[in-house]
Amino acid sequence: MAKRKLAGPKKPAAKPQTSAQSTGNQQGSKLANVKGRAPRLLINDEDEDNEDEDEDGYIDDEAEEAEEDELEDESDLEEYDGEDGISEQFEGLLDGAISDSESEDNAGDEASEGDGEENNAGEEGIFFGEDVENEEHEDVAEVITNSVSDDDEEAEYLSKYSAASEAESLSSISSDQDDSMVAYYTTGADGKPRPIYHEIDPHYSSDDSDLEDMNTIGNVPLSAYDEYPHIGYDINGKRIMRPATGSALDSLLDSIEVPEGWTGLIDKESGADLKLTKDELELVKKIQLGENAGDVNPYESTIEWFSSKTEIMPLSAAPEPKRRFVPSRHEAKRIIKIVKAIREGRIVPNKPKVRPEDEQPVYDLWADDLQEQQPHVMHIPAPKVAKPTNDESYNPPEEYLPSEEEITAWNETDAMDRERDYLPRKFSSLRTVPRYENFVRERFERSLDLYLAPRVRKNKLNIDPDSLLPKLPSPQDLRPFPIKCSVTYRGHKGRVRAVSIDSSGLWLATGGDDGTVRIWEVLTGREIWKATVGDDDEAVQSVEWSPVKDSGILAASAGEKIFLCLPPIFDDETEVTGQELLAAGWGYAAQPAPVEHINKERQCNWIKPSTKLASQGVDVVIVCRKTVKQIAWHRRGDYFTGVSPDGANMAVLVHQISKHNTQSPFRKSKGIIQRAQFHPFKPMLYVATQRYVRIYDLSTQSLTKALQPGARWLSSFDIHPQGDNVITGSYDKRVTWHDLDLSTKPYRTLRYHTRAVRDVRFHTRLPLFCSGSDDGYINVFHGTVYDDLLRNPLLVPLKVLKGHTVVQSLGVLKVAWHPKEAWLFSVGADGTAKLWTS
Amino acid sequence: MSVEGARDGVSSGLSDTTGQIMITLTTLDKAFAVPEVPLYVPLSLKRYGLSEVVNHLLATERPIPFDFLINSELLRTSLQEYITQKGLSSEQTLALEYTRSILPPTFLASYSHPDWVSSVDVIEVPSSNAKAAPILSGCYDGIVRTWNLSGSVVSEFGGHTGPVKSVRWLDENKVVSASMDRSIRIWKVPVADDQGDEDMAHVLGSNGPQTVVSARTFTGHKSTVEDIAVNAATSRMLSAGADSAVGLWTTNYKEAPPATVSVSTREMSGKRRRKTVVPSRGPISMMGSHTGPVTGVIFDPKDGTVGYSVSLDHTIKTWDLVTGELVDTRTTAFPLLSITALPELSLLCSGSSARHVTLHDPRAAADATTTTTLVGHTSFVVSLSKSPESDYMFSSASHDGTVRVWDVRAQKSMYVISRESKTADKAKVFGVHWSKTVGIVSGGEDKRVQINRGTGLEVVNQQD
Repeated sequence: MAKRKLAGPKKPAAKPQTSAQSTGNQQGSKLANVKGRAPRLLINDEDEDNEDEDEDGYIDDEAEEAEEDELEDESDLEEYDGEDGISEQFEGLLDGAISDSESEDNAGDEASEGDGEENNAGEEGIFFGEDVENEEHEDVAEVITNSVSDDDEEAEYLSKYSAASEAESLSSISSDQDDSMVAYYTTGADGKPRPIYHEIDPHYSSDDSDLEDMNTIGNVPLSAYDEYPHIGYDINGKRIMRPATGSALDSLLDSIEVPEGWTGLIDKESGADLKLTKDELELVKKIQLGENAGDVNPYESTIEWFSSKTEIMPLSAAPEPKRRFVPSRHEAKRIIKIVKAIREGRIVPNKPKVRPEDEQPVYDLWADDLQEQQPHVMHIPAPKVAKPTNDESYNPPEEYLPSEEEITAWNETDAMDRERDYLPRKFSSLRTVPRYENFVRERFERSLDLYLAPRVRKNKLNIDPDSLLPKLPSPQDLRPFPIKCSVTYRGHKGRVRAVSIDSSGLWLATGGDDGTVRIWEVLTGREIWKATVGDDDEAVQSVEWSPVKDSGILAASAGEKIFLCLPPIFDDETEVTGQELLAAGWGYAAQPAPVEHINKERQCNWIKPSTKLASQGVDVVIVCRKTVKQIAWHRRGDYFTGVSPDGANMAVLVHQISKHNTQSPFRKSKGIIQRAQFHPFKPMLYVATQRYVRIYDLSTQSLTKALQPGARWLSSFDIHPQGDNVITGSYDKRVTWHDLDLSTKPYRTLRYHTRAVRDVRFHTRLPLFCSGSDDGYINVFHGTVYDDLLRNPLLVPLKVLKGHTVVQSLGVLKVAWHPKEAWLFSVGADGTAKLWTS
Repeated sequence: MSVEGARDGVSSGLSDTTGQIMITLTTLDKAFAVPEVPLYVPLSLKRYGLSEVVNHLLATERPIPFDFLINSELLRTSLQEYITQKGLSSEQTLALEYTRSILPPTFLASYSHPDWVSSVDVIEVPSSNAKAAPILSGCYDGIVRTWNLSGSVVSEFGGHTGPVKSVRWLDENKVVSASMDRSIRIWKVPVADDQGDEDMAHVLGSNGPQTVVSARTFTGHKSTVEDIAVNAATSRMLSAGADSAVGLWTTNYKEAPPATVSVSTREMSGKRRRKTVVPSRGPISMMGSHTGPVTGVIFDPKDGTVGYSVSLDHTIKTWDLVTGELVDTRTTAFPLLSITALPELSLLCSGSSARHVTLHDPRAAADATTTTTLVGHTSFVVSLSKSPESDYMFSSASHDGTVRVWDVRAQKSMYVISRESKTADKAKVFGVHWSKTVGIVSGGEDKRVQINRGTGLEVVNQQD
């Protein structure tokens, strides 16, 4: 396309020559012609544009570019016109040979100078013919006047030159076509000038073969006029005179016969003159020009094998492909994509074009670049390096320079232990600062760091901490629970170690280090009864009321003895009942021991108390081998256990009151046993060692379960009145709640105490439990156990009861709940017992 | 002085106060009536200032203290605070009712005992009787004592084998005592000039206290008798037992049914206890409906056939003593320890272990009425005694070592009587009795009976 346009510039390039030769009258018409041409060119352009759009889809910009190219080509052509002569001179011998060979074809002797003019004229003629053809072919309506004037011009022009040069020009048109086709010469790959031809306008009017011959002689050979001075006749019947044939010298030179095919070269093989045929010369010429040596026309016209025209006999009878008439799916997909993009706003149709200067973003050099960037989701910026400080300067102030000691200390310390990995150094100028010697190592380490320790995006949990806390009911809603110390029972000397409240809730029994068991009136705090049972100030370790109502039996242990007392505070009926219960076993004890125990020593001896003890209310004394630390009654009141941790396999003994009998349930030692307790209603025995709480089924005599509170040393445990939950207290400050249905591990571990937990206790009626600790505090908790097995127990800390003073790092030693009320009894190392009421 | 003059005097004397309010003064006591003319008084006035105003209007020679009620509620704050608290405007007229005030009881005397004093009672005798020993005290040493106003023991009643828990005057010549030894005993008070009484009294010495060891013994409770109430009109006694039973007894020993065969007659180890087989009589009936120890019992002051009892099982029970049946049960939130009645208001005051006094209407129709709670004590409220002079007032004894005087029209206690003896930081008070002639008598853990009395009343009485 762009090359085709190059045909255009020929016309203005040739114009000055024609205008120079034409008369003034002609000049005016020429000018008019030029004036008229401008719109035609425009029209031409437009037509071409239309074509372009139809065929190739080029757009306006490229057409404009082509116009610009046009202008450039004009100047090129002018240069070429100047150079043309030079290049001809330059060519020398071969050129001359070629032109001679051409001139031989021509009938007349022609001057070489005339060739140019003739050529020009011919070209002009071609030009005009072309012009006319173009105009006629194209837009007739607009240029009709121009074409008329052009026709006139042509007639005048032809008449003017017909006499002198018509024949020449006619004959030379074909022969000089090669030359006229060469636009200019360039240096070829072989260093020789290589002709660049004009682009050929493949328009049919460019072919002048159908130009009407200027036949002046009719159908007579031209040689017939050789002997006449004229060569033909013009349209008016007048003779067309033969042009002059040059001077005599030229004739002479012409007469010197140059043998045909003379080259001036000598054939090396034969020694004769090398003669080239015409075809050979043509070939050499083509080779010289770097053209295709074969007989190939590079500019053959295109045969439109396949065109829009429906041929009668088409080359291919293949049916029309489907894609011609079926809508393209691919295109439909693309359109859907585009529509989607438009809907989503990714493509904005008719968006004003952003100018390049607008596209150029403006950067704030001083802004923190990290903040403005919208980082990729997975992009984690590397942590910023700390900004250099004064001592990292190449020229730090003097005070930053290390002293000698510091330098030596720095050198002696391990690289890992250094506070900083450089020593401040001073340089006179930046130019003297050496290369950073750690560069490679540092880069390597940083890369290694990035590779081995990839940074991980950690999502911050944006959760309100309060929402994570369990929704516990307010303690206000869980009343009653003990909140205040109402009664203090004073009287014991030394620590009070044991406490028990009788089933009516009126009589509180305590035992202490002073070896006494005391009974108090609960409401008033009045000491009602006292018995000194411990020999030699042996501490009363445990005091427990019998669960049997109206029996009034109080079991107390001091040292290795267990005392069963009947405090004289009850009515006669109760007292007699108790006496009968205790006395019933004397007869059994007198009987011989069963056979299997006959060789063994009896674990315990049931003896009658001394007179002194009997006067104090003690009815039975059981002498064990080791110190009995704890007593626990069976719910029926006939059995009770005594725990002596040092007793090895006899650490837990089960005593039976009705028969005055003692059994040892374990053959082997189970470790240091802390507590033992009967299940509230099942035939089970819970035994706490230092680490575990073991549950034995007494009916099958097997271990049912072993709870692992996770404590190092359990101090106490208690069984929920429903039997399915156990709380333990340990010397390592923990209280654990075990749900036997859940696991052997604690359901909840409560760490509220700051010192060892001494005792834990469930309320028998209310959902309360408490723990007493060596920090002198009692923590009261709410603990609801639901009948619904799916619901876990609800534990709510309710109250910290502060009142006991810590004596010798011992605080609260034992606690007991009132049988009915939410009242709590506690005894402590401060020698008092306290009643905490709601 | 005219009312206008008084108004001028009041307004001129107290003109520096910020705001004033219009009040009207009324009283039920005709002796102190003032004209019902609205007055402007400063908002900053309290009871004392208002009392001054009334005294000014009355032009009394000696100032008489008054208490002021607004809408049957005692004014315990300044008028400003009152209207702020009630959300009233100072432009409204306040209707103030005034009554003679009970003066703060001052300490009169304290009588020392060898052990804790568990209970006190006072019999109203004419003050002219110098020989009278109106004060009765029960002690934890098991001895009941009568005291005259000069502070000396007149007679001692020894016979209980356990601490005496409750004592009451049966009449001028008889006292009844209940003890932890589960027995109730009626003692005849020896009269100095009546030494010839055949079997009741033994005068051991004329200069020392007369010691009485013989008594009519009533047994039937299986545990401590915590409280006892007497009704002279019907010759009935009510006892509160820690065995959850309420006993109804007759004071007439000869009419009393025989006691059930006591197990003490069976063989027991004689070494352990003194065998004093006392002839005893039993109760008319033992009413066992409580599920916890009964701690207090009273007769209805107006009707001797109705009794009330309170228990640690949180209930107040009403008993029909004729049939011995339970009439009504009121359940509260806390264990109850003491009870007394305000007959004019048809209210029962009960002291609880939760450190407050609750007011209940025992009438059956008043089921829905809300109970009032008086808060102030810091420990168990174990004894209550109605004021002999005011229908609205009573005193309460608590284990926190104080006796408080309450007016049911005020939410706070009127006065707090603390123990004079400084022996212990916390000396529990176990019993209180408010006598018209003697004053507020209380006994407690400090082994003393303490008498407090508002002295101002005598002046007024004399003036009347």
